[in-house]
Amino acid sequence: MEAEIKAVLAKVFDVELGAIDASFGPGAVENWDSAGHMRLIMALEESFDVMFDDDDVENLVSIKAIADSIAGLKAN
Amino acid sequence: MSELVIPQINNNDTHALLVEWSVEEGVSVAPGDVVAILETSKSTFELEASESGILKIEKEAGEEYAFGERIGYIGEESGDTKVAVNSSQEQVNVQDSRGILITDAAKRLIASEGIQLATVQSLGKRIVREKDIQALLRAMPSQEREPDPVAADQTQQSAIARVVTRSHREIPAAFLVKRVYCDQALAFLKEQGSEQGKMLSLPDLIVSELGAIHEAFPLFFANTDSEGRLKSGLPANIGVTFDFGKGLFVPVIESVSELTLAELAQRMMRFRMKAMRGRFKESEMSGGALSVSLNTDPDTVFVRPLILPPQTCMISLGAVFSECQLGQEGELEQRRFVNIGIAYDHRFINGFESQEFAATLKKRIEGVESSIS
Repeated sequence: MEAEIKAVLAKVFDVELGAIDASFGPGAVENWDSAGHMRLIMALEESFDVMFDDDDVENLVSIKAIADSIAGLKAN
Repeated sequence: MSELVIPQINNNDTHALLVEWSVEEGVSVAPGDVVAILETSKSTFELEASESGILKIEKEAGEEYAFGERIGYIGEESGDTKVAVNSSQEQVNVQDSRGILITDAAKRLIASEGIQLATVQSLGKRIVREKDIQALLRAMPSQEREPDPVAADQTQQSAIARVVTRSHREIPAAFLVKRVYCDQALAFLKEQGSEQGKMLSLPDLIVSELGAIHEAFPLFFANTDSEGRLKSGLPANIGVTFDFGKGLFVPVIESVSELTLAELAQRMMRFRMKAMRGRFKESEMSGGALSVSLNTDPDTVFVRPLILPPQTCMISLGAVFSECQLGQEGELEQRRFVNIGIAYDHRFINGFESQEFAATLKKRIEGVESSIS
C-alpha cells in the first residue's frame, strides 16, 4: 500500500518517486496547499476505491496517516 | 399556539400562492412536518410546522397571500402564542416540463444517486420531496440507478444560468485588478501552518483579511432588496466558490471576522470536501454579504468575477506568478504576486472606494505578520 500511496503522491505533486520518504508532507512541496490537498484526496479515493470521512481529510498529511486511514476504511 | 405565516421567501416577490395544504385540518403534526406548499414567481417552498400540535387552517389553498400573513396555526392546549419559525429545508427552483415540482434536496439526491428523471416522474406525484426519493431508493434495486448526468447537469446549469443572467441584467458592474505581492504572506502561512499542524493557504488568508476589514467598508458587505435599496454594513458572512466537478457551489462562511485563521482554514477545507461530494444544505449557501471566486489553477491570471445578487461586490483570486526585479544593488531578485480582482456594483460604489478597498486589502496581505524576514 505504501508504494501505491507514494505513486499517487508523486503523480499529484509532480515529484520524483525517489524524493518521497516517510517525512514527505505539505512542507515538502509548494503545491501541497489546500487545493493540492484536494487533488490528492480525489486521487487517493480513486486509486484505492475508498471514501474518506470528511472530518479526517485535513489530517491526511503523511504517508502513515494516509495508510492508516485507508487500512481502516478497507477493514470496515 | 404557534402561528403559520407566509415567510419572506425571496426578495423579488411580496406574495406567495398557497398551492395546497399537505395535512388536513385537525391532524396532529410534529416539528419538521410539511404542512403546506407555497409558490412564488421563482420557487416552490415547503412550510413546516415548528412545534407539535393540531393543525388549524384559516386560509384556503389556491389563493395568494402576502408575506407575513397568517394562514393558520398549530394549536396547543396552553394559551401560549408565538410566530413559528417557518423556514423550509427544501426549496424548488426547477419545474419539470411535465408540471412536476421537485425540491432542491430531492434533486440533489436524484443527481447523487443517479436516478433517472423518468423514474421520478413515474411516482405520479406533483410535488416530489426528498423523502419521496428516499422511499424510492429503499424500494429500488441498485442496478436500476443508472446515471442521468445530462438531466442533472442541465438542472444545475439552469440554476447557474439564472444567477448569471440576473447579475448581468440587474447589476452595473465595474472591475479593477490589484497586483498583490505575496512572498511574505506565503512564508507566514507556511510557518503558521507548520506550527499549528494545519494546512493554511492564500485563499484562507484572503478571506480572513476580508473579514478583518469588513467594518471599514460597509458598501462592499451589502445586499440590495427587491426595490434596489441598499442594506450596507452586513456581518462578515463571506461566500467562497468551490468547484470540483460536481457543480459550482458558493457556500457561506459565517462571521469570518470572529474566526482565527486556523478555524477559517478548517471551515474552508470542510466546504471543499462538501463540494467534492456535491452535498450542501440550502442553509449553507445563503446569507452571504460578499463572495470570493477562487481561480488559483496554475497560470490563471485573473477571472472577472460575477457579482452574485443581491450582493454588491465579488473578489477574485488568480494563481501565484513570479517576476524579477532589480534589488537595491542592481542584483536580480524574484518575487511572487497574485492578481486580486474586485467587481463592484457601480450603483453604490465608485472607483475611489474600490481603490481604497483594494489598497487596504493589499497592504494587509503584503504586510502580514511573519517571524521570517
